[in-house]
Amino acid sequence: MGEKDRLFTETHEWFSVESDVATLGLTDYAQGELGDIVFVELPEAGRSLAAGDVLTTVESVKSVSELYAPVEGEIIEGNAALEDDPSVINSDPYGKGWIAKLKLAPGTDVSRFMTTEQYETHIKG
Amino acid sequence: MSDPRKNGQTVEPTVFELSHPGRSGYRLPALDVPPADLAEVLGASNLRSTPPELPELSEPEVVRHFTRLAEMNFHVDRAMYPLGSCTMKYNPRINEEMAGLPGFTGVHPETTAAECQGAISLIYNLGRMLAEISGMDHVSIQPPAGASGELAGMLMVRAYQADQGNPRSKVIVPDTAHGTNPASLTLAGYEAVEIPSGPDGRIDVQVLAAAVDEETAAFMITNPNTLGVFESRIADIAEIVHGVGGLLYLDGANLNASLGVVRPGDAGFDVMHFNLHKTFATPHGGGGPGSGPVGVKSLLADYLPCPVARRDERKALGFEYDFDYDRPKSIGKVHAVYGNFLVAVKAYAYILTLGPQGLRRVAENAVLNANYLQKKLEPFFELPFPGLCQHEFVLSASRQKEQGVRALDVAKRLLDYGLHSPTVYFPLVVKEALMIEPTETESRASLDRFVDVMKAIAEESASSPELVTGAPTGTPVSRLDESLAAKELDVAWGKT
Amino acid sequence: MPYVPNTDRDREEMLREIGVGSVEELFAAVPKGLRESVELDVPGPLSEAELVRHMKRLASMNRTTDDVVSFLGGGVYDHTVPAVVRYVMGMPQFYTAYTPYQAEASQGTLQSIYEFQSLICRLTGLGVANASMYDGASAAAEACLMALAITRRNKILVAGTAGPSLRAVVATYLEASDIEIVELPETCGVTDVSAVDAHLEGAAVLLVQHPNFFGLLEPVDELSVKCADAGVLLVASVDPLSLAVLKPPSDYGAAIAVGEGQSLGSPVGYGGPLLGFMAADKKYLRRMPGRIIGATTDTMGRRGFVMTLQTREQHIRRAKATSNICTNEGLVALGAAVHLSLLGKNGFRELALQVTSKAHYAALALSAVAGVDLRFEGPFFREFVIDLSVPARRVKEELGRVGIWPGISCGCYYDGMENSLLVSVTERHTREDIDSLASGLEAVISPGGSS
Repeated sequence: MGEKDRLFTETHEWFSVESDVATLGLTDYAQGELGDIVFVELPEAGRSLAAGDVLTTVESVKSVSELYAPVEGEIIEGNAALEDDPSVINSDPYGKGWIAKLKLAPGTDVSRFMTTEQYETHIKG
Repeated sequence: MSDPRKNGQTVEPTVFELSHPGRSGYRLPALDVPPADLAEVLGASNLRSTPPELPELSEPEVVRHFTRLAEMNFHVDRAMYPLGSCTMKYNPRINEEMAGLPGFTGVHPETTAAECQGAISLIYNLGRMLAEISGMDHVSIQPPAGASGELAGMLMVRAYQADQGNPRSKVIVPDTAHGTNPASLTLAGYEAVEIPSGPDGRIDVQVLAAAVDEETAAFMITNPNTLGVFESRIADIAEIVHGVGGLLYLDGANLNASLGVVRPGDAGFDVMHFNLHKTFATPHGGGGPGSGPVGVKSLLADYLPCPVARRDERKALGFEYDFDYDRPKSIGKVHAVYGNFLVAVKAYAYILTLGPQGLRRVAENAVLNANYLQKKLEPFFELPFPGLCQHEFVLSASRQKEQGVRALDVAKRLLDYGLHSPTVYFPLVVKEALMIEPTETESRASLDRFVDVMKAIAEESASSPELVTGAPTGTPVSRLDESLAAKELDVAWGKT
Repeated sequence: MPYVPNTDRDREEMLREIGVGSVEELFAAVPKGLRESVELDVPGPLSEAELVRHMKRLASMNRTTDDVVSFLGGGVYDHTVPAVVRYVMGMPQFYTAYTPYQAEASQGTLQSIYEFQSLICRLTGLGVANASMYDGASAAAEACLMALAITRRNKILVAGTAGPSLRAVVATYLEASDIEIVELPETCGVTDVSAVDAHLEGAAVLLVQHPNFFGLLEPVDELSVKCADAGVLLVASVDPLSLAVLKPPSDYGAAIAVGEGQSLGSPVGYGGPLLGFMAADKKYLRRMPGRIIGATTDTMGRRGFVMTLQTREQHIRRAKATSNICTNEGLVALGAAVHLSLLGKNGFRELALQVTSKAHYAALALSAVAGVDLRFEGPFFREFVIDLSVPARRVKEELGRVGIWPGISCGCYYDGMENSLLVSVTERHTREDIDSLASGLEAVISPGGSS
């Protein structure tokens, strides 16, 4: 999956969909704003979320950010590697720093989300 | 790989590293009764197999260790400590001495009232004085800290509202609120509803009017607020909140600006807490003990924490002061005993030393010093809310940020100049906030020195920002790695 | 005004710099009606000499534990406070500092609290401790809140043998939540293990005080097994001195240990400041309330200390914080660290041995008096309950006249115990003190005695 498949939310999550599974994380811009990420609460597999529900929290030394589910779905996996080294979100936000995989509800519409170009315009504005 | 925190360079070893088997720093009296066989009297299965690994040091080693640690601390006896909303004023020596009188330190809390009239009268009369100063009707000194006072206050709000038929579900707080406010009201079972401040940093009365409804149990504010401005429309605010049956709560953290000038009780507040370790000059102790008395108007008197100190001038029981435990509507106890009594002794002595005029002089000079500093610093730092302030004001390091210097760097650089930093990154409504509260106990010379240093730092930020971002260099340790501390936790010696 | 340096001339010059004509103008934002009415009716001002006279008079109206032979305890104990503890707590570098927000200028506070945390871990056997709570009672309440958050259950079990004030504070902290509090019944002065099963289901926590209010050792091993089977977290409220000899809470599976640390270097002080402590299994670290100090390094690789995991706390997480606590009992925690360091491994154990020995000597001496019986048979640590053949109140009054305070009337706290006294002993009691209590009781109680 390349950059062009990635979709973005206004709350600075990215996700990319392969068949019915969305891999999701925090955008490069957001990790830069937060600074050194020191802790991610591992999302619990099996939990069902509505769009906009809090998926997990990401902590830097002096801030806590909530990560929201962009769409409805069920968590199938949290990135266990983040427990040992959450800083991969800083170093590789779109790769090894992914945070969770969501199984999407059937017929989920993702057309309302921003593309890479649109998101870049969004954060500049 | 060896952990540098365990094996690397140290400024002062831990007490465990200094330990030497066989040493002891204290002698107990010789045991004058037969020694108990621990296994027999306590039961072998209840005993620990090895004694706890406490350090072993002689008395001079203990004294030197803690003296060397003490020398690494900045403290208000040394220089200005302008932490906003913390009121780091001078702590009068005499108050420490008074709180150390054996007649206070040696009183057991189970002593019968007749045998400790001095202690109870002090609690009672301190409550009366705080009530007079604040315009409240009753004050309990039981809460041991500000946040505990907030919890007690909010539980009283809840009990009162429940007695009116509905405990209600929400408490409104402005976006400039201290973090303890939303945390305390949540603990008291309420949902925090945050409203944005208006463009002048004050509560936007229209926004408040739109936010309140029949589910609003209270509005919780700090006044002067954390931006250092007085809520001029306090009468309208009180009317709006009372109009829907809500109560008005004052976080008294900033009461220093009001002493003898304005009384919260006259301004419509129904319930408030005090911070004796701010306004009333009791020391902070590096994080406590504090004392957070809670004051209420009569409508909440029944709900005060139990017991309540009372006075009977006719001495029907043979003495004047005792505690009333028969308080069926009380929220109960927030402290195991009566609160931080020895802290209360210091506040009591402070009020008596100052008297009514002295208290007013405190507020006047606190506000004078803050305005003077604000005026002098304005050329060098952004002032997001211009105009006269009360006891504190908030600058922004936004100009410096463009030069690559953040509020945190300014804070650290101040340490190199031998001054403490202001509160940084609070309130949240100001980016790169530097919240400055000089207090009344700083002299003009001390304020001028602070101005000179802040000006120098502003100049350094423009000309050689690396001096600022590399600070501090003159402290016992240089900038500490907070990420490492949070990621690879080491919170107890010898345990990982 | 001794504490305000500004002279009238300073004020005038400063006002001019600010650009206002008077101090009154600085308060322009305060509505005039509110400003004009204030004329405080408080006493003072007093000179230092007058203040000292007044305060000494108040102090003289209190009878202290030095003025009598006191056996009062019940959570606040009259131990000798070593001079070194007072000396260190009196260093202005410690007591006039604020919360260590600027770590580089606060290493003294930070390292000493890290040492305090480490010492509490060593006493309790648990992996993490925080930088202190207000008192043992609020620490117990916070532990219950923590356990409720961890287990997401909504019931707590509290041993009825836990101190009355501890139970009262727990109830206050939980008053606004939808939590069911079950008070576990006692048998022979300790928690009735057979009665626990009925309540375990759905409980978040079992809170037990060990030794309990009556000084008795609780059946912690049996309670622990029951808790483990039901997924209930065991919270032990412990007397830190007892941990010199008793097995640590980690040994009996406590998830959280809390306690009152006043006996570690604080005077009785009319009950405040006290010192709450809390330690927990390391896996619950992120759920803990209050400040936690952690070790780290500086830019030169030197060890240093910072407040860590601040994202749990109210100043960052606000409404979602693990607790509302901000100011704690930092200086008292420092005192405890000094106290434990000074007594050290052997001295602290010796202190516990002395207290145990004297308490057991006292129990034996008192129960030898006709009309005095030990109420409970189980093992006890530093205090114990005696039953008298007459009301405890009367005995207290009569012995009070001869300068002996025999203990706490249990009837104040427990129904049906009007004839019982909780007698507490520390290393300060001499054999003579204890013998004088025994003979005093004999005189008051025996038919031929005084009264």
